[in-house]
Order: sequence, then C-alpha cells, then structure tokens
Amino acid sequence: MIARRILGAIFLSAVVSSLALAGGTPVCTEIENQAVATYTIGNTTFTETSNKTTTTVAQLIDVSVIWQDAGNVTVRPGQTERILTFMVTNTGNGPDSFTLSVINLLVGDSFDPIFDDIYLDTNGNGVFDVGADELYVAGSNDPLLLADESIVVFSRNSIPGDVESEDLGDSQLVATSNTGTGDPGDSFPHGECDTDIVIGESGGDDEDTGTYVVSSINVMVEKSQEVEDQFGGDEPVPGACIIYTIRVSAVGSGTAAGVIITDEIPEHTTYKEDSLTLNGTELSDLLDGDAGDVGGTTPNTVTVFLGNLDENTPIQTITFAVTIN
Amino acid sequence: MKNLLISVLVSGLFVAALPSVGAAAVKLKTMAEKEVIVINDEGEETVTRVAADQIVPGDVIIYTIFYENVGKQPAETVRIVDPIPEEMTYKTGSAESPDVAVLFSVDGGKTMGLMEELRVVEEDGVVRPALASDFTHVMWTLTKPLAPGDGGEVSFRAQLK
Repeated sequence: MIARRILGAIFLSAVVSSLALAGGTPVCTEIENQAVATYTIGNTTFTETSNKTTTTVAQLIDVSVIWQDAGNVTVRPGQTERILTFMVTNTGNGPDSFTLSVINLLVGDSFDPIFDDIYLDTNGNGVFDVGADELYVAGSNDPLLLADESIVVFSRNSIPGDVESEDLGDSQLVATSNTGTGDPGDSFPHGECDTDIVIGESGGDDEDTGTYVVSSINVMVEKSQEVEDQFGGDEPVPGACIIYTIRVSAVGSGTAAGVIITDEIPEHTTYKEDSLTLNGTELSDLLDGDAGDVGGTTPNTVTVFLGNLDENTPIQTITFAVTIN
Repeated sequence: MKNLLISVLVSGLFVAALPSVGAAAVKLKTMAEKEVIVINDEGEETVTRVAADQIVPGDVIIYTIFYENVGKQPAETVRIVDPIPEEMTYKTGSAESPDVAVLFSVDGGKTMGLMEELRVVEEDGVVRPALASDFTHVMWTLTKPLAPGDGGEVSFRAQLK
C-alpha cells in the first residue's frame, strides 16, 4: 500500500517534467517531494514515509528582443518603408502577449529614421511578404506567445532626404509584456492557478537596436553598338545586324541590391534569336532558370537579372543582336 | 527508462520492508521552504525562510526532513532517501551535515555513491564524472543509532530549472 502510493508520487513528477522547456519549468507545474526512511530495530527493517510537500510553479514574466539582420541595412536618402527584422521571444514560463513599439530618437547615431509601421511575420517564413504578413496595431493584435515561443517582427522606417553616404541611423524595437512589468523579482497577485506573477530579469520588457547605413552606390550602365552588314561591311542597311553591348558596374559604398537591366528592342529591328549573352555565357531567350530572357518578362524587351552589385563586383557584360528590318 | 528504474528500485526497496510497516518508531516530516529578503525596522536586509508554496524558474527550495525516534528502542542504520524533483537541480554541498554520511544517485536511486565517485554514461557511450545536475536522489545515513526520544534534521537545496 505504501509502496504503491510512493510509486504514484514519483510517476507524477516524472510525467510533469517531460513538459519542461528550455526557458524554464512551465507555470502551474506542481513539484512534489516525499522522503522515505529505513531503519532496523533488532533484526527487523522498518520503513517510514514523510508527508508530501507540494510547490506550484508561478508565472515568470520575461521577454527578449534580438535584431536579426546580418548587418547594417543599406538605404538611400529619402527611401521609405525600409525594413529592420527583429525576433521577439517569450522567455517566461507561461503564455503572455506583448505590446510592440519603435523608438527612433536615440543618441550615438547620425540620423533618426522616421517610423512608418510594424508588421508581424504572420506566415512565419522570416521575411516580409506584402499581403501575407499582418500590420501590427497596438492593443489589437499584440502577439500572444506561449513559453519559449518566438515571432519575427518587421519595423519599417523612412530615411530622411538630407542624409549623407555612410551615415548611420539606429531604430529600436521594444516589446513590453501585457501581463506586467517592474523590477526583477517584483510580484503581484492573480496569476495562473492561484499563484503570483513574478517579474523576471528583463523586467517584463526588452529592446534591441537595428541600424541603417546610407549607401552612395551608383550603378553605371554603358551601352555600345557594332553594325555588321550582310556584305561584310558596317553599313546599317536593311538585313544588317546590330550587336549591342551593355556594360554594368557599381561605384560607391554599400551594395546595390537586386539590379535588373531592361532594354527594349529598337523600332524597325527584330531580335536575333539565341543571341543573348551575359559575361560571355549564352542565356536562353525563354523565361526560365537563367539570369535573362527576351520578351518573357516584358514583351519585346531584353531583361537580365544581375542581383547584388558592389564596388568589388566585376563589370557585368550583356550582349544581344538585332537585325534591321 | 529513468522512470522505470525509479519504480523498480522503490518497489524493490519497500516490498522487502513491507511486513514490518505499522510498527514504525521513526517519524519523518518534510518541509519545503524558500529564502526571501525582508527589510527590518532598521532598514537592513535580512534573509528569512518562508514556505515554498510557489516558486519561479531560478528559485531555490530548501527541503528539510525532520526525523525523530518516537519508539522505545534505538533505531539502527537509519537511512533517509529523498528524490530530487526532476524539475530541480541539486545545489552542490547543500546536503552535507555533521554525523551523517551523504550519498547520491544518478540512476533514479538504483545505486548510491559518493559524489566524486559517481559516473554518468553519455548517449554516445562516453563516461564522465557526475555533475550535481545529474543527481536524482540524495541519501543520508546516520552514523550512530537513533536513541528513543532523539531526533534531528537533514536538508538539501535545489534550484528550479
């Protein structure tokens, strides 16, 4: 009988612990303890069990905010809706919701970004998706996070027009527990399962700072042409071929992201099939896996996706040919 | 697997002892307390113990077990075993006390040993010295028989994960 009771107690604590999470034992976990003594009198061994103590785990309020971008986010003067990415994690041991805010009036940087809005990574893919991700409205869709759960948050800011190359602008995202804030160790009543609510090391709020850097990078595009007529000369007569060469390079600080070159086929000419090349390599005319197409992205237009360019990127050379009608 | 070991051990331990239950002469009482800082009338911070009815991760519980021989004969080889709750980590050195030998278990109470002699086999087969966080049970053995009317206390501290 006694043995069975002890077994029950031990199993209970074992089952509960399997739910334990990295961020701390979950709120409302009951921790039981019962001691057992054995002793002998004469040749007989006796056993005695103690009373059982029960301690309930109260709710600890804690939160962390960590800026996620790999480095300073490159911007240009006057740009709007430039994204900084943050991760908000409920580091407490129970469910909690958090109010989000942005602070841009910070010291130690060279300009103050202008706050636009905050979006939640509703579809959970870590990148901002227009349409799929939800606009954050304080008090309306404050993210509700279980213990240890995280959400990615995008803060969008505009860049003043009068900033200069290499200027830095800081922007802070703040997450504040809706359950409570205070000094670490503060407690107040009416938590889950008749326990108090206890403020953790964060004080119930946390913030991290992301940084914009102003880039002066310019993409230089230079186009030249060469005519080859069907008679072995270089006269632009009907039937002659014009070979166009477009040379693209980036000059200045920072990175020019997602560079796309488009060039419309001139009037009175016809694109010469399979003549498109990038850096000496043929690109198919179709809109497919390679970097370029003719007429696929935009009718009657050459489109080449060059991606990110900076000052160290070699000059990108695009060629294609047309025939004069 | 660990649970199974605990149950095997505990049932083994007590099945042997069951015939004698009921004539118990040694009584046990367990308390769970935590320390809180209070400011006294002089404005000084003092540490006081209160019942650990509720705690949060990082808090430490002091488990104290009071024992007393309420029978008429001395009790010999008195051993007190207390499981360290799985949500908690034993605080090194907190179980030591005079006139008591302290052993620990890292296998759910199946075997007991001195802290420095216990070993843990990792999942990859590597054997390493046991850490306080590996302990599952603490066992105190009184070094002298417990005379009728005599008693005492043992205790340990553990931190909530």
